[in-house]
Amino acid sequence: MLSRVGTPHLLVSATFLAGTGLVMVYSASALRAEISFGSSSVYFWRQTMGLALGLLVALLAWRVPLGAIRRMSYLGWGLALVALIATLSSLGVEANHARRWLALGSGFMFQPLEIAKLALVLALARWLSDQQIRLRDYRFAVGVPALLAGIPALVLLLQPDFGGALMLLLFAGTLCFAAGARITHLAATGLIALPALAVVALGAGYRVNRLRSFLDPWADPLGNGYQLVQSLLAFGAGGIAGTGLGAGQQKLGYLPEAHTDFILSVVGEEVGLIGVLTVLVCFAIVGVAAIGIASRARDTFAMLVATGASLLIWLQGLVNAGVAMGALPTKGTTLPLFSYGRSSLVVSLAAIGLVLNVARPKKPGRKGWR
Amino acid sequence: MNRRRVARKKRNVAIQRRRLMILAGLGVLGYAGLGARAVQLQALDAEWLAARAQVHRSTVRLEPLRGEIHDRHGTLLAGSAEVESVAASPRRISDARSTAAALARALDLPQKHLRKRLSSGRSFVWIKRWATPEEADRVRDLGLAGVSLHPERKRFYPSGLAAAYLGFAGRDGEGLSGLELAFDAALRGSSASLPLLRNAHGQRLIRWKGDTNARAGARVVLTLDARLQHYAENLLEQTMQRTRARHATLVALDPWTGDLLAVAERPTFDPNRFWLEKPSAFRARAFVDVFEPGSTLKPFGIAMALDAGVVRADDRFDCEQGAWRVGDHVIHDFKPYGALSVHDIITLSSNIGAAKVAEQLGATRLVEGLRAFGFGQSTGSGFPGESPGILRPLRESQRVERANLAFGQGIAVTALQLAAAGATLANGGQRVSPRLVLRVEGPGGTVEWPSGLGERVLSESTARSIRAMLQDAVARGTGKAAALPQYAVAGKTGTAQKIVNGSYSKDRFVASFMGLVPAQNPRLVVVVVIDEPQGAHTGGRVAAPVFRELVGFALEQLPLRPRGKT
Repeated sequence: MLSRVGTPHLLVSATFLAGTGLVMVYSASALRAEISFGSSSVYFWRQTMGLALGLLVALLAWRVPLGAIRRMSYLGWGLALVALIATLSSLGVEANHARRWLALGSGFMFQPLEIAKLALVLALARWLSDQQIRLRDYRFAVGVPALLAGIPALVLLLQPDFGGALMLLLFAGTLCFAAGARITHLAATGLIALPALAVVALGAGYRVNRLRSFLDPWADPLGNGYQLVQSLLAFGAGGIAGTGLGAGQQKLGYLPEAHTDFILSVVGEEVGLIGVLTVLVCFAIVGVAAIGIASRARDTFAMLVATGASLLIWLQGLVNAGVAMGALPTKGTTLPLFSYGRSSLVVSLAAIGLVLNVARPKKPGRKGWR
Repeated sequence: MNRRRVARKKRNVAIQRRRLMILAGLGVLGYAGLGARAVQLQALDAEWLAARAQVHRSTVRLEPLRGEIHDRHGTLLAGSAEVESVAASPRRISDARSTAAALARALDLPQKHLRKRLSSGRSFVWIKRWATPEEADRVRDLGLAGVSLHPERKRFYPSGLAAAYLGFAGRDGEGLSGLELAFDAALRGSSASLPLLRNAHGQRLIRWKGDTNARAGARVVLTLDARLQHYAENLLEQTMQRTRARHATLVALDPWTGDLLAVAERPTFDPNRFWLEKPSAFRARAFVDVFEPGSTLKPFGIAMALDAGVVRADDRFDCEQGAWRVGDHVIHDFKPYGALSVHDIITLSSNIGAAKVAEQLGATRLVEGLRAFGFGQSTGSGFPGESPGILRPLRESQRVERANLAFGQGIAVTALQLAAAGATLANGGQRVSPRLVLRVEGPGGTVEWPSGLGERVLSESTARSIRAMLQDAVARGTGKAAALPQYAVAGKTGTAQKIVNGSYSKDRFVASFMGLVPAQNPRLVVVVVIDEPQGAHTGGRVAAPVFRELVGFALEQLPLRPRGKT
């Protein structure tokens, strides 16, 4: 299966997702933009600018030699950590009771978490490829990666961003798994980490409420279950073929975050089951194609970079779609390549660029894995 | 050592390949699971969910302007206009004092009252419904925060004529009484329904093109003649002042078509401010109130006896010098008479004579005859709540009741029934259904209200001979006050004692007059009913002059159609 998919599948699917994403962002955000700014296309143009910037970054990630990326990876991890810590300082911007944004100068804001995901992937790829003959050793295979992911995750918990921290740990575990760490080690770590995560998760009241509303959103459809209920209503209202592009009603202020975390609900309402399945299939293709490219990578570092970068797209997509459809507990995460958010879009496109970088044919004269 | 490292690396690569396969497999599995979830939401549960998403949908009804009501010559009796009403959201007003001051100046309202309303903390209060255009402009120019203008419809009645009969429409343009109620559907027209979405901010969004085929409200053209109506209402007003009666009612009818040219009553009310009135003022008395007619009914029983051939106009009956015992009951005449011809029984209004004629006819035929004239049943005018009156069947053995019925006791009629029965005498013996509506001019076409003469009740010669008796009654009998210099008038007075606590009162009367003019070629039938006049109380003294005044005006001023023969 993996040997037959690669760059063409990845490019077509990713382009399709980014393109339709832009259309859906416009549809989902028009009314909100009209109310907030007096112009319906504000979010659309911002996202378009993000797309342009992201394409530049993707070009860079595609052409920069992997060796250079490898050398810079620990530095990148450190810088991302600094950026994360900075959100807790006066540079951080508080929104919805969490400091997840960093403002640099006037008007330029970004989410360090998005960069931290990519930085973590690169740092882990370097560590796990450097130490691959020692991966039988618990300390090398799981211990250090746990630190690489755990330190930024702790900072994220202070923002607080439980979902982001969990995402980093999930990335780390997956990469360790891909690098060949022993299953028993991974499972043991997981078993140790689980109670700690549970304590943190249930420590905050709003997380308990989220969990409860996930289990039964209809118990409190106007309170804790509101967002999920509105999302489910959107899917139901769309039916098989949808109400037509632009004709959805849930985005008219009923569905919070329609243009960001719940954009798939808007797809579900306006383009129906057909549209949702198309988006899901595209994400699956991006994931499988990227993993296929990873499996043909020239060395372990490249393989791990491609795998880790693919996680940014398909694993996040899986979580986002699962949340929107009520299959996973509510957790704020973007739909990569698709939903509104320039930090996420740029980093997602950079991830695509990295996968394409790995897919580049080997230079003549160099053979085998390093 | 080196070889071992290479071997381990190779084994590692194999493990990694396998792990990547697993990872890809898990990813595909995950997305497949989500796909299944999507199918569940959008295909299996879609109906259930979509039904719950419907709650944001609503429709707005676009009502066309309510149709106008005109008189037979096109005079506007009821119209509709777009006006504006001033409202406020006290919660959004920070400075109630200055806002109240500004509004008080603009709308000429007491400032103190306004300040109280604006400080109420409510989210919506009306400041002034149906403001004048100038007031609305002044408020608009003020541009006060929290004060808004709302377009509304106002129903107005320029003359206030025939208020109880036209009825009125409420604040929201719904017919509440009278013709406004009876013809509500036509006047309202059909509204357009526009499907709407309401977004979460409460704003209305038009979602798709709905059925915008609103049909304008129909124009209702009445049979009333506004000039005659106006004259009649003034006349009743003066009569009320002169007689200090409780009510006065007048019906003027074209005997050939049934067209009601005037239906007036006093007291009345201002339909432009109906909410200030007691609901009892809204009664369309000519249609819904019944009274005992007394002598006004005599000609109808005698007409049936003549038509049946049981008596002739010159047959003479002994009127017993004013007192005649029937069973254990004594019938009195107003004045004692000896033998009177049937003609004179009408002219001089002898109760005993009328009772003796009825004796010849028999109780059954008397009741049947009165029913044929339309008493005891609705006239078919179609007016909401029209009373059928009361006319009970009699057995031949009920001699007292038969005698009473002959001079209009033990029966209850409406003024409208009396006029319609009079029209039968006027047009030569045929039934006629009174109508108040000439036609309804809707956007889809015009509907004429049926008119014309119905079944024959009595022969033309009988009708002519009754009219001659009635003409004599005005010329030299009880109805002298109804006589006009230029025209011969045929008519009959009635003075009925009212029943108070189960017996006939000595001091409460209903005075009535039923007249036709011109006497042998009638073009107008008029019934006047005065309830409880003070002082002079007979039909001849109280009701007949009203008839004369009205008919004098009508024949001189109005283009009455010259019709009919005889």
